[in-house]
Amino acid sequence: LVVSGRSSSDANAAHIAEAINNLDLGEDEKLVLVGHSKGAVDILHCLVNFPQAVRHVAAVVSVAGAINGSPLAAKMKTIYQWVGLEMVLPAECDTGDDGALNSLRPAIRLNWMAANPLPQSVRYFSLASVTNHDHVNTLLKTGYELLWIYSPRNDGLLLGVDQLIPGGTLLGYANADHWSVALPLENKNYLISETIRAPIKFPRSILLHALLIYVAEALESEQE
Amino acid sequence: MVERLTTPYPITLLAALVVLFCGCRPALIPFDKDVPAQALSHIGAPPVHDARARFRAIFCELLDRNRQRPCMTDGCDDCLWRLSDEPLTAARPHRLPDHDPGLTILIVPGAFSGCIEKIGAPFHDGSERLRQMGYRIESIDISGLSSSAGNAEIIAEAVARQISGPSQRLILLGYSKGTTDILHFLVAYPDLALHIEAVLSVAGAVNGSPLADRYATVEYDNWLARLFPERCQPGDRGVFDSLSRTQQFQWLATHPLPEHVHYYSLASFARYADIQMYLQPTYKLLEQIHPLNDGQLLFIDQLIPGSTLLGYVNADHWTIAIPVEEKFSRRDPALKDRHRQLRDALFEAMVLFLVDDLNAQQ
Repeated sequence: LVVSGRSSSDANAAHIAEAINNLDLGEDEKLVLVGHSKGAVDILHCLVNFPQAVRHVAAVVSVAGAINGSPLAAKMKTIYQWVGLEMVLPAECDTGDDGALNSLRPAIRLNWMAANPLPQSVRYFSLASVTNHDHVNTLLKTGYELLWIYSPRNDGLLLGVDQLIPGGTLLGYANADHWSVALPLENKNYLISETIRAPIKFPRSILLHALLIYVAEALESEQE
Repeated sequence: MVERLTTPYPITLLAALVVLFCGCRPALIPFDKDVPAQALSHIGAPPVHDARARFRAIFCELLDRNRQRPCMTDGCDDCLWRLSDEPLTAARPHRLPDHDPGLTILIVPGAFSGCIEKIGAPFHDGSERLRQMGYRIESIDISGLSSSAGNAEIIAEAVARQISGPSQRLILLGYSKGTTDILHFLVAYPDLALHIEAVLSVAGAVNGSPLADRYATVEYDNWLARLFPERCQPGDRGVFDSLSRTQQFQWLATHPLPEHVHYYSLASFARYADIQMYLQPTYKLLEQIHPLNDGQLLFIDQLIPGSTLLGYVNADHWTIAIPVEEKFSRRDPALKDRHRQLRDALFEAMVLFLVDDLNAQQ
């Protein structure tokens, strides 16, 4: 799905709901929504804000999901500016409602989670990512070091403990940083691939395959 | 004559050095009480139940009846933090629960309690008052520098001495590491644990403290050891291991607590400005992780899994249970009275809450 990478979770929830609606699914057709990082949060907002979308969702899989936000949220803008991320971002990455970082503040996330029970008809699965300093790519090392005081078990942007959907099933902890667990950054941009490539390439395709096999089996066993 | 303990000037210097050289960075998370109650727990841990509104109602009613104002400006609400998810419909009880002097309460003090003998007993004055009402309240003389496994044995001996019959209602109250010691006792001595009806944790080091892991070998060790020079019995010297967050968290994840016991947690945190001087350096260390701490423990580390949450007291780690500042500080004399009133009211409110809750469950 195409969402606005710099918009708030509520704004992206509307995008997701619209995309689901546009699929024109039959009554028996169900979706598995996979969300990476803030994408997982956007999905949860969609389920709460748009109950009509819930009937088409069988499961949500969070991959390194920013469920409880990140202590770095207040510093992310500064960090992004420091590493010059805006310079390497594609021009089409517009600011949207510019609410993305605010949506990731721990106080905002935790209050939202406490006030908005998730639909019980949906199954939730979480795969977290944590790694060590040597395996974090260059641009995430500052974040890793700032989060280290909280816990060495972080992925450069999120703490391991903040990546789990309450009441969900924990699938495991990928030994990868926040980007390499899901994003093919090394193939996208020459500047990125030559400067911030993660030291170890993570087998993302196999990970996704395994996630979907597990979820399919879980949903099948539930139906039986 | 008021006894003065050694004025810990070296500690002040050490504290300054800790802050200067600990590599402290500004906290990433601001002090913000507009957050929901939170607990750091392992996967599969039983959930914490919320009873903050009911405890607040009892505590505030108690203060009103005694015409006490231990809290600064907004009265009762200043004593107990109101986090964002606490229900607002706190129905004040028309009458307080009746006391039940049938309860026997054993209090387990925290680390270093033996080093500060005159002031290390939690809720000393409050206990005396309830004793006069008929409660049987005793403090267990644990070893302040020993491990929780070591102190579990001492608690076991104390519990065994107290057991008098099937109708006896035995409550364990743990303060700080005393809570950890109690939990280890329950697991290590399951037969004796059957006699325990409830455990009440006050600022309990349930998950341990990051201070013990990250700073034990340098600043924290020195800070605590020099605070009470030559006053401590060495015990098995396992106190820091038992306060290690890494070790205690692992222990909790692998040792399910007995299900027949009712668990209650009362946590504490305060603003930096309200933290007493000798806890300010450690507050600053913890602030880098989370500003909601009491100078020794983070608020997320103080809740027993599966317990009933009574509330978050606006007090530092010592003020909530023991009169350290009153002995060491020359601050506002009125502070002594306010802190004593706070502790006394908290203690009685906890006991009343327990009586009410346990009777309701029976």
